[in-house]
Amino acid sequence: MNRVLALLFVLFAGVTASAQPAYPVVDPAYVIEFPRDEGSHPRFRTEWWYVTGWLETSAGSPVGFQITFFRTRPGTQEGNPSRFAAKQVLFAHAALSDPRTGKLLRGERSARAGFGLAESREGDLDVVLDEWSLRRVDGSDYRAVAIAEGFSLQLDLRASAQPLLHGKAGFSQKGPETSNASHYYSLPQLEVKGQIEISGRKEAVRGRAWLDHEWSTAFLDPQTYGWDWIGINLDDGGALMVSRMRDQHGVSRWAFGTLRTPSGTTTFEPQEIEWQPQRQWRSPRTGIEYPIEWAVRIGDRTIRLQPLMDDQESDTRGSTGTIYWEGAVTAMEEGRAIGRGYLELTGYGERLRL
Amino acid sequence: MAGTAVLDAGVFGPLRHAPGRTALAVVAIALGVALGFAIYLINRVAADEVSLAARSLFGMADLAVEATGDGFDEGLYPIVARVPGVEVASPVVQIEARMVGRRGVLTLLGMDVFRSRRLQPAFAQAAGGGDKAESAPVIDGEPIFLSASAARTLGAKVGERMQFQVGLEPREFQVAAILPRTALEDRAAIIDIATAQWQFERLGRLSRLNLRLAPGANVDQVRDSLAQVLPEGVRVVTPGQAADDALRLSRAYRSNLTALALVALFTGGFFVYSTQSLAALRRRREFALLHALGVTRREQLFMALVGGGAIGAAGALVGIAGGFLIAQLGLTALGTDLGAGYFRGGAPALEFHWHEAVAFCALGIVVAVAGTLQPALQAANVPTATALKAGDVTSGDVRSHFVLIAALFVLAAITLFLPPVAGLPLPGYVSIGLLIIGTVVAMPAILRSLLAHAPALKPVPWEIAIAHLRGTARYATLSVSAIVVSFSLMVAMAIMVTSFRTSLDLWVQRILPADVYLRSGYIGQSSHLDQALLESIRGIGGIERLETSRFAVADAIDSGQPLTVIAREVDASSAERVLWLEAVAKQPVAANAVPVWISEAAADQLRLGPDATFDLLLAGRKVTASIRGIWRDYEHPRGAVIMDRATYESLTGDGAINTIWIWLKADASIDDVQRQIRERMPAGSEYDLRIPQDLRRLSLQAFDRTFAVTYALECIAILIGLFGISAGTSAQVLARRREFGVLRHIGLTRQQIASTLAIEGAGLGALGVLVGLITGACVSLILIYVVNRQSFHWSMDLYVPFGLLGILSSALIAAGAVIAVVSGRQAMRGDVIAAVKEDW
Repeated sequence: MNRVLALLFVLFAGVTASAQPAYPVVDPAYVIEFPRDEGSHPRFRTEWWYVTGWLETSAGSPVGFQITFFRTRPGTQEGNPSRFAAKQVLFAHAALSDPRTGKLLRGERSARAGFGLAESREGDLDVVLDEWSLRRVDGSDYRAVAIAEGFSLQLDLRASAQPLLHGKAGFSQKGPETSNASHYYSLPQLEVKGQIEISGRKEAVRGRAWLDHEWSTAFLDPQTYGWDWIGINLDDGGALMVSRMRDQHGVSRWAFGTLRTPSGTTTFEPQEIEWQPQRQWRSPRTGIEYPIEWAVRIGDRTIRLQPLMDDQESDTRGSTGTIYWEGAVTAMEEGRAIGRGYLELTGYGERLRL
Repeated sequence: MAGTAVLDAGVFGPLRHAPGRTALAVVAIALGVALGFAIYLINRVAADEVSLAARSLFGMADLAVEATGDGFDEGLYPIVARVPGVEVASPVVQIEARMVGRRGVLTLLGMDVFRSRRLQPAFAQAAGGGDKAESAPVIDGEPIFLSASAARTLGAKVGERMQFQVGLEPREFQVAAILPRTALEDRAAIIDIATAQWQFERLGRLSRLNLRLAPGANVDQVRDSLAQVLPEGVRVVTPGQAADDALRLSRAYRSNLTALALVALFTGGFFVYSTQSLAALRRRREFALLHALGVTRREQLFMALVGGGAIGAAGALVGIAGGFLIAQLGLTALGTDLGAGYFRGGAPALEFHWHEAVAFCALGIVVAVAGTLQPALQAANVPTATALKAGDVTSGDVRSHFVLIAALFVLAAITLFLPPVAGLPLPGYVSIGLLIIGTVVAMPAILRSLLAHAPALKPVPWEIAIAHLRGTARYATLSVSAIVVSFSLMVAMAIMVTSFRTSLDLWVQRILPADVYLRSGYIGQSSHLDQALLESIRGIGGIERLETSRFAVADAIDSGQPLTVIAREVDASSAERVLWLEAVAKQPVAANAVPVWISEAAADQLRLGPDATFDLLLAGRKVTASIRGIWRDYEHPRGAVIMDRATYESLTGDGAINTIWIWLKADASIDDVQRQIRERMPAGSEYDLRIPQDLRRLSLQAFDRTFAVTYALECIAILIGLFGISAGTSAQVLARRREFGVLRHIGLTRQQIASTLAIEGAGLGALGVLVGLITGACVSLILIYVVNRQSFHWSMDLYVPFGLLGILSSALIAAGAVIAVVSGRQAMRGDVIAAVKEDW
């Protein structure tokens, strides 16, 4: 989960918002169905599809990647009959963590939905934003395309495991109040085949990825300052998602997690989860200090997280207005690698706004 | 150092010898350079500003897709966005929004920030990012982002509310931020595109798509691909083209102004010519002496030219400084269009570029050296032996260059019939130049023939004056030539401006037959009147009848030329009455064609006459128009087409109204009707309610403002001309000391000598005036029937300001007399007895 939305639009389309539209509330009784709920839920305020994973080039070098699509319903131009009225706005973000250069490559797009140029379909996964897209091609086959300046990703993803519903059958509580919640499921263990291009050089890649899909209206409670999140594909075929919300002093306000093992799926209560920072890294660009190595205790297990490279900071102040760290990590347990996935750290610079 | 001494004697000595004349020559050149440089600078700043502003509307776009009028269907947007090679397509809705509570309109750009920020990052940063000060006002209204220029000229601040009028209704916005200059140069503002479409009645329409091409994309290929998907009337332009279009309208005005400014320099050069010629005559003995001392004729020529160059250089330097100052003053006081109303925006900063200054400096020097060339050649060819003899003062001989004169006049006549060059009336100017040079060359012959027929009058001063002028015909010619040049130009401008102003006045009265006019909005502007208001006004007692007009824009399909469309109640029978027709159709309207009446500018640009048909693209529809007549128009520079209101409405579905023409019953009170109309207008709405007298006054005010600079330029040319008389007289002063001495000896009073001088000066002035009047009248005809017609496509009738010309002529003759007396006083002073004794 994540995530970082643009304020830019609100500034332009106006905050006049006659009255806030009637956003639906996340309903604990809602039953998530596939593929219907893989598509868009445009009446909710925010929604995202988040693909993260590890790739390996034919030469064997590891590369981390993420491709994300956000949808938001700003509620400001609902009464405007113009086809340009920004009733839905889409954002896309992609990044490549290439340890060969030690640098994070980033690209992004944003557009108001409409004219077939930017759309998110209801009923099935099909999100498009100019030449960027994420769609279910057929059965359990998906395709993700992101073409940014300096790099591009064209990946075929195949689901090899069942969807993982978080919280109570996909009702995922985000704070002490049940009103702060989202509908949330993941598609772990996606087999990836495809091609990446960096500075005009194309490379065939294979790998394993994770897709998060989450939609909500009131996601964060007012005291939440930032959050930490991981999604790990375990080597044994299982999957682990852990997250927590922090207040402005860095103290956990809420936490939740889901662990799938060959023997079954466990969800964790806030008190069963503990995040212990192990190593800090200070960004030379922003001066912000991120704990990029962790020991995360879930129930009776402790997972250590080690980043693929230190500098996986995203500075989007030019567009979406936030700075965060999001990168490929290896999960270790008792000194042994047990899986790989992504770690997200938000709200370490300033308060995250949604 | 003999060389230096010779150089000093040959070059600087003479300049020092007559410091007054040298200074006048320097001033003459300086004035010419200053004016030329100032006008050039102002034009350059205007052009830079206009093109920068036009360009900034495109952001960093490589190409743009646009259409005339209310634009094109938004369905084209995704099609263009998907054309291969197009990386970003940023849609724009452009609105000329009538401001409420402020004068005029503001250009609003409705943009999709998600698209435009890829083309205008500076703008997105200013609007979206950036640190907001704690004290920043709360923005809770519909946001509008003002360009720095708009904020400055409107005096608007962040947080301030602004209203715009759509139809007669207000729409409120709140200034959310002021954009930095780099984001948007033009005097404009940015709002959200969906808001723009909805609030300004433009749903479904776009004005423009700004395109950025993918790296490595071939511009021509992309243009070709675009051409295949664009419907008729929608075109691909480069930002540079847009800048050119923005400049084209004012180009004729600017080039005419430049031509006038160069006339001042030309007159200055002529003045150098006449002073140098006089000096050459006077210094024959010096030259001969230099020859005798071994200075070769080539060296002598060189020295004379260096002298001219020194005058030019000094004048040019002063002129550059002066021109820069004048330009700065002009820009601050009048704006970049010098009051003509072509450009908008505030006073821009004036930058100094060395290469421009050097170029104008060089121009001044060249003109001065060119003015020196002929006299220098003459001086170099002085026969040494004769000139050294005592008594060889001048040969007052004048040659008549009949062949040359005839050739110049014939050439001037032929040039008149050449077509304009690149839309500019250059042949007309060349013809004027030839005519004036021809007149100057003809001056000796004219003078001789006039003196030959001078009546023999009794008073002694008269006889002496005539005899003196006869004896020094060459001096006299040279003195008077500068006057001829400047006065003929002044006469020409006076006649042209009077003709234009009178024609305009008559035209305004003719095209405004109604008693009251109610107007709101113009082409593409958001404010307008509507049918409901029309009906409501119809109900006012005292109104006999109403007519309406609506302004729009359409493209002539063949040329792509945009034309102003005026929809009003008009048919074949009423056209003659309501329009000033210059030509009328003879055949019936072609089948399936719409009858239209086109303005002269439109007829010139389309190259079509009555009965011709042409295709118009009106609101996206192709309309065949049949020309029923051509009317005189001073209002729509790009050309206008009048069509019947009912036809227009059925073609476009546009029922809005810009002007309601109101005729009153004979017994109605105009004030009462105006009051009732005001009562029927929505509160706070912006409109103009005027009677024809007001409109006439406003038109003439605008005209006078436009020509204010012209008047100023003329006066300066005349001033330079008067230098000529002064220089001519004072040049002879020394030579005539002895003459005056003798005259005093034989019993003439000081008074009588002064009269002699006055008669000579007045005579020369009168000659200059006479020839100037004739030449000026010819030049004015060229200006009226060739230059103006080609520059602005305006016909006008000839009206001569006899009174003004009479006053000017008398003033000039009087000035000639006064200057001659003042210059001659030097010669009358001192010891006349001693003067007679001076060794010959």
